[in-house]
Amino acid sequence: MRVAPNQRVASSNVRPEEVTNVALRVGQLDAVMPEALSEMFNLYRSNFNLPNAQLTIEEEAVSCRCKDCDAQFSLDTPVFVCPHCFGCRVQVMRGRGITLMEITISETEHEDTYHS
Amino acid sequence: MKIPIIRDVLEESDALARQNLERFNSEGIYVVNMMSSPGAGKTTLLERTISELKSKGLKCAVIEGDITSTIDSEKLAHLNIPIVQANTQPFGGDCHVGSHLVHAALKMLPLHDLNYIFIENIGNLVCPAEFYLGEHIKIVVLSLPEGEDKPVKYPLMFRECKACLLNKMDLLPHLDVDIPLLNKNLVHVNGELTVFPVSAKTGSGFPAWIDWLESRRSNVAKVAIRELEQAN
Repeated sequence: MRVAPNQRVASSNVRPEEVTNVALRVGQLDAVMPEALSEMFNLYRSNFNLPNAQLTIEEEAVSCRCKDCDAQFSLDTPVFVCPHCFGCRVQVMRGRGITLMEITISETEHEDTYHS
Repeated sequence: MKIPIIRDVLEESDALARQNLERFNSEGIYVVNMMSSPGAGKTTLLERTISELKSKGLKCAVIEGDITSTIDSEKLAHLNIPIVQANTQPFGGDCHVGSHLVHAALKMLPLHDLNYIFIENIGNLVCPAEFYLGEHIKIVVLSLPEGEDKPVKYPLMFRECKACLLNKMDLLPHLDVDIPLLNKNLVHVNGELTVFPVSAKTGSGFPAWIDWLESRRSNVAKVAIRELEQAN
């Protein structure tokens, strides 16, 4: 996994060891097990050059919109049927994809850099 | 200090896939990403599909994504079409075809002289569904012996695809598969999935599948022509 920092971070003088947390959002529809991802992160932490970082994973529930009656609803099981009109033309609105949400860096050394 | 990022982890892969799509569109090629579990009959299905398309004067190529061996490429060799083996490792490799493999394979295909490219993905109902390759359409092949529960067990695969080829229909008299339950499971996972019961062995169900595929291709071609006209 390559975690690409955004432009602001890339252009700053953050050292990788100052990253304390990497936050991911993982959609429940994706075939990604948060436990396996965390385990992998811990095993390969030094390869990522982030020796002090923790990985935080937020699971995103699957939510949908019915294309027939426009109702919005969330799903606990993979039955993509509208609970209001029982229509089967359902659009997934959330719960798909893996997103790098934010990184956390140790406060003390960089406060000035980011608030100036 | 928290620094918001909000970037898709797969954005590099998706960007390359979009480059692939632009190339396909500029060359007027319709690209099908065919997925299934191992042994569902993708290669045999492709063999018959390509034969039918060839008989209509259409030119096809295949990108073969196997983790190892050239068995599938050899099976298709008699069709005398361009075939690229995308991912061969002597003792097994990746679990899915990635957009970078398709990108590399394009350099080995006569793109100016093709109507279709079929990407035969690696036999796996999980990982291939996650990755956009730049294809126009994703198709899943489900063979009857696999059972009626597969759509519910692998929902992302059946959600991502526009059509499902129910293969090995010739085996129906010999199996206990519950067809009404299978249909219900397909509808519940993806009510917009177009389902074609077929047999790659006997050819049953093929006319409807080929017509549908051709109508999808011509729709994409019409859009491409319109965009070209607008650009000029």
